[in-house]
Amino acid sequence: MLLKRIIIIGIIAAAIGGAVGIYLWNKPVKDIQNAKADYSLTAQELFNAYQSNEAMADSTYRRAVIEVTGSVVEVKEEQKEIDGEQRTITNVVLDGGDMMFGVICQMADPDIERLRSLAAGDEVTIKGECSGMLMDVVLTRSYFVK
Amino acid sequence: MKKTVILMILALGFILPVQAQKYMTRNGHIFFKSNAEIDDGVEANNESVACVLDASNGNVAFQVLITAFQFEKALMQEHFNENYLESEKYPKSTFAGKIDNWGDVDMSTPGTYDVTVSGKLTIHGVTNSVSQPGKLIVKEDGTVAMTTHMLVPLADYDIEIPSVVADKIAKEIDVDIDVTLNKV
Repeated sequence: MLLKRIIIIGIIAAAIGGAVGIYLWNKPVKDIQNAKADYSLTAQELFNAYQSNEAMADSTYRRAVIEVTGSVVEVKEEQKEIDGEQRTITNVVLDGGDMMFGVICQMADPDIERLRSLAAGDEVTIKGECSGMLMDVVLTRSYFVK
Repeated sequence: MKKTVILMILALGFILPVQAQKYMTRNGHIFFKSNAEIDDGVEANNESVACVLDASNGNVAFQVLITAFQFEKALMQEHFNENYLESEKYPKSTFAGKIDNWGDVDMSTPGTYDVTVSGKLTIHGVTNSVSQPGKLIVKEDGTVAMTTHMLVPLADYDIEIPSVVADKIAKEIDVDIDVTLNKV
């Protein structure tokens, strides 16, 4: 009797464990659009933080959700074929105060109209996940805030 | 190492005028897929690859932010960063090398050139020499596209996949690289 009970409990536990496992395995990545930003700063502040001490900036900002405000330098829209599918990739570059480099926001925002209406010099606030710095500071999965 | 390699190549461009021609992108693309017998959970895109080509000698450099690889599934993105690539310790992957048959490429004539690229590839803090065929496309508008497809053996870069998921992730990862460079 006891053995039977243990087996039943064991099966239920395994089923729950399996369900949790499947849920976790399939859970999509964090929804940036509705997430609260971990940090809010200007593009110049973010760029300078990385420029002056990349390791320290990484330990603070890397993989965090950052709301960045700045002036648009350029908007670049490209068609790319990814794994057999055609996709449009739009990057908004914000002025970081440097002559050549700034903050690149890889846009996931579905508001194509707004993306296409952006002009150099426009002030925008964009929220995205910080990946670090190569020549520019890079934010992925970015959305307009206002 | 920071941006050393790329900045060095760019700096040379400013110091040596006239003949030095640099081509660059900050939006290069790398896509990888593990082709093991599993649904499409193990593939990722990186759309912020930095690449510089020195057209005076065929030197080429890439830099990739590991955290900028985007997965659909949260768990894969976490495992990739925290366990497999340990991106906190090794936030970037780099390649520094050259196009071996640079003499075959005529940058003033649009067309597709078959090239071989050789150099040092560093992933997860481990550096290996690699040599890879690819295509270099000189376009009518003056941009240069470079594409290649390569297999990256995880063991060569000390990337360990726990046995629990070992059957879900192939030992060699299919990697597609596609960059379009503009003249600087």
